[in-house]
Amino acid sequence: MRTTSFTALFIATLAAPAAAQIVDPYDAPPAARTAAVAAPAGPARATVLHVPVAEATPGEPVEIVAVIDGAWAEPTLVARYRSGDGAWRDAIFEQSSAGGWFATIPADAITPPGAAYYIVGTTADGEVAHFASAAAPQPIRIEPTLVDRLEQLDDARLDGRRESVSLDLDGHDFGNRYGNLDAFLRAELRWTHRVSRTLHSVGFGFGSIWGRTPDSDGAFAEEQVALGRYGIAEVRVRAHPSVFIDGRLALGVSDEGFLRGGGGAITLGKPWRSNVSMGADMLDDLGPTAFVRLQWDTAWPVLMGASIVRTDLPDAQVSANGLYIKYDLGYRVNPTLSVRGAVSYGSRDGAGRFGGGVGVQTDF
Amino acid sequence: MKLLTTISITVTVTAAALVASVAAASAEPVVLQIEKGLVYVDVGSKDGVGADTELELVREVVVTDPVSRSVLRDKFALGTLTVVKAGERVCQARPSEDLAGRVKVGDEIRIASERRRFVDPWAERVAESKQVKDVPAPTPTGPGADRAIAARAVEEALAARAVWETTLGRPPIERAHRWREFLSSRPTTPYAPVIRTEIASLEAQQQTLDRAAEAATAPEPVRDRRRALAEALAVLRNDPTRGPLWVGAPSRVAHGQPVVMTFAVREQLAGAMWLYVRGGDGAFRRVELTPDGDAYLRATIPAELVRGDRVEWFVEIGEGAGGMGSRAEPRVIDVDRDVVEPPPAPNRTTISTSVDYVDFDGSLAKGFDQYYQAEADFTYRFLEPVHAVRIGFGSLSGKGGPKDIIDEAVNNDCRDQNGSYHCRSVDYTYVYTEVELQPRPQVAIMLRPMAGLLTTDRDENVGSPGRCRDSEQLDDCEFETGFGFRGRVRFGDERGTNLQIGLGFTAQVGTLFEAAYHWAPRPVVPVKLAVQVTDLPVTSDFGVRLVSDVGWRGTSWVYPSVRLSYQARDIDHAGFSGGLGLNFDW
Repeated sequence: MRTTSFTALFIATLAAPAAAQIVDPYDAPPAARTAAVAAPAGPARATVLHVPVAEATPGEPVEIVAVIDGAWAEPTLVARYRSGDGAWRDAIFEQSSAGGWFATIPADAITPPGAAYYIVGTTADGEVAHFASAAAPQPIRIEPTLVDRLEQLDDARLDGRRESVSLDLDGHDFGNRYGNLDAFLRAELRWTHRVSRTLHSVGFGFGSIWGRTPDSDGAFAEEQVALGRYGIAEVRVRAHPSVFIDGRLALGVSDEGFLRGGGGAITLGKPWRSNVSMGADMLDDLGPTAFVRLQWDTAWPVLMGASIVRTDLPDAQVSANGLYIKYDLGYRVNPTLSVRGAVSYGSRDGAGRFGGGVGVQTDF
Repeated sequence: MKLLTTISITVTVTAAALVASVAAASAEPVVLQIEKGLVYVDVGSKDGVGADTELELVREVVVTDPVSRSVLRDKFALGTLTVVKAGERVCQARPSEDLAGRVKVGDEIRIASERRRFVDPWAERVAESKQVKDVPAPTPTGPGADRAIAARAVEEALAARAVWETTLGRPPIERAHRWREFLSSRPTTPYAPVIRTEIASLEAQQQTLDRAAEAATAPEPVRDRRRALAEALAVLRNDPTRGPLWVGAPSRVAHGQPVVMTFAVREQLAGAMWLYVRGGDGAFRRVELTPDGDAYLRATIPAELVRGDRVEWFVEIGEGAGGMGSRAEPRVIDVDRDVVEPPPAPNRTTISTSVDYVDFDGSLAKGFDQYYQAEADFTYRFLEPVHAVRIGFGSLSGKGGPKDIIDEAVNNDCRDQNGSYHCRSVDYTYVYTEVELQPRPQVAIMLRPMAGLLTTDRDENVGSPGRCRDSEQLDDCEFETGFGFRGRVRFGDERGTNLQIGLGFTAQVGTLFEAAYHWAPRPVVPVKLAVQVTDLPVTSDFGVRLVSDVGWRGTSWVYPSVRLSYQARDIDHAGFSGGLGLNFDW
């Protein structure tokens, strides 16, 4: 509510001559000069009192509410404003029917990173400063939210590229004490769109797993082939500036029929910087996988990582102790192309063997 | 609140009137009531008292003459009071500063200024309008008297109307002047009383206008004017808050950015004004407030104080006379956490690889109490909220058994007198993650859970501990998942001199106590000296290891190290051995 009857009465009282009163406001003795703030001396002038505006919501107009004493002395009173470093524009103070004065900075000026204003009056002799100045205006902050700022950082880091396509190929040969083949190869092609908000990214892709593994624990075990073809849908949520949670759904077919899968991971730290991540995924017929990975960026621009992976891929029957450690390197060749390589060592039944992986990713 | 104030004033004035009626018995005026620093006195416009009239506070002194024993009385003026406003019989006065706190109800008052005459314009006008009828105008007599009277009345009216028309649009003082001239030229005009009232009104209007112009150009704003404006603005904003200031400050700011603080001053303030902002050390820093514009104060909180999750501030006016917020209850501006990514920090990563051969009985490959241990350890120091995280991979492979059996076996075959075989081989391939917490700058706690595949071989004819791991022949082999844990505490500088004390154990493999001292006698020569108490590689008799590890940091990012150790389970069951390490720092 802009005005009240009291306001109207009060302002009318201020404006009315006091001829018929025994005491009028001007009879009060002048105060001793002890205040740090005093109205400038000089010719008759207006006095503008308002509560300075310091922040605003983007896209919403800002209304400056003031009471003005002696407005008659200055034909024009304006709030002079600008958006960012733009040109100054005037919002004229207008008086409401009840006596208050209002100037509105329009919504189109209230945009990040912020606006600024000062208040001046105009007389025949020129402008009279009432609050702040062009040199030191009152800033109206439009603080971006935390999510906004994180999004800006993401865009700056990737130069605005929000899409990426990646191809990863990883495998490991566990070996077997009886000379049987126990290995898998997993390839995934993935398209990721970065939202860069709390919902950080969504992705979709296709995957394929090929594997051979003994069908039992023993010297006479036969090798079985494990196959899977699946589609994957992924979501990454930024729960905190340094905590990312991944969810993953996979649907497809295996050599045994319909294949369902899912997984998740949590990354403590930023995925493009030093971090620790833990996760697991499960594919119906092909077995679960869990990992812990430590990544560091101290050899920039190379990203390095070390992982401990425990897996039953590819549908291991011989033992549930498939375990390997993996060391990987990632390198951004140029702003749009990244490559990575990995080497792994580990075993499931018998002496350890090597594995590894390669990957390529393009951002656009 | 305003209602309460109104009631309070009403009660006060009523009480004052009652006191006045009582005080009427005395000839001198007295203090009736003291309210919020203002003094009510039983004199008013009827006594010639109005705004700016000076009153004196009189105090009677009564003393006894020590010689004559007669009582002497005299009155002294203690100070002056200035009338703020006056009614007909009671006025309101403000005491001078030297009277502050000394005025009491009942004190005698004396009028110090010259008495003035005050007129109620309305009562005057009513009275004079009655007089118009009683004007003793000359009355024509004789024939045509009625016509002459009528003609004179018309002529007087026309003359008055002509003057009135000349006053239109003129300033009050000029209008009054023209009416005076009219009265001078026509002293017997029947409109004289009305015109005199008009002249008085015009002169009063002119005085008010003069005072208004004077106030507008005065170097000092009138005290009540600022407060009145502020109260009007408060109502306009529907703002019930009180206090001397309004603040224009953001509620939330980004980390590390200066903050402009602006205050609208609601009333004239006395004394110095400072903005206090809490710094990172908890102490409040003082920031200067600069006057600005009509009624404002401005200051900028420097960027270095905009840290953490909040900025705490308050404004102090005068000597602790309050202001906005306080030291005990400061105002708060929320600070968004810093999300700017710093560049990669060096020396946060360490990769350590090591191979260690441990021979407890000095027989090397022919013995029954040896093991080797290889580890690859990856460390990254996050510093916050955990100091470091490690993950690693290791393998421990060895053979062990009761030292007495091993030492006393006639054929050096780990058999007792009955020919029973007591040794066993283990092969433990494990992984681990370790979290390092640093609760204090010189104290770190490291916690490491471990898990892996544990293979135990009890075959007495097989020399290699890795037989069960590699071979197709699995007689006497046991496979199981082995879990372990290792905890360490470090005292001292991680990269300088420090002491580590640790305890680790793995089921069916053994236990390890360790105290290790790290220091660098030269910057390029990191040294580790350690004493270990352990029953590795199998849970059996404990022995002691004395270990020295010396590195050579020839380059900043990689350095090799050599380890030598002496270990013994007793004085006759001992051996020397060693190991190698390769370490990377980024």
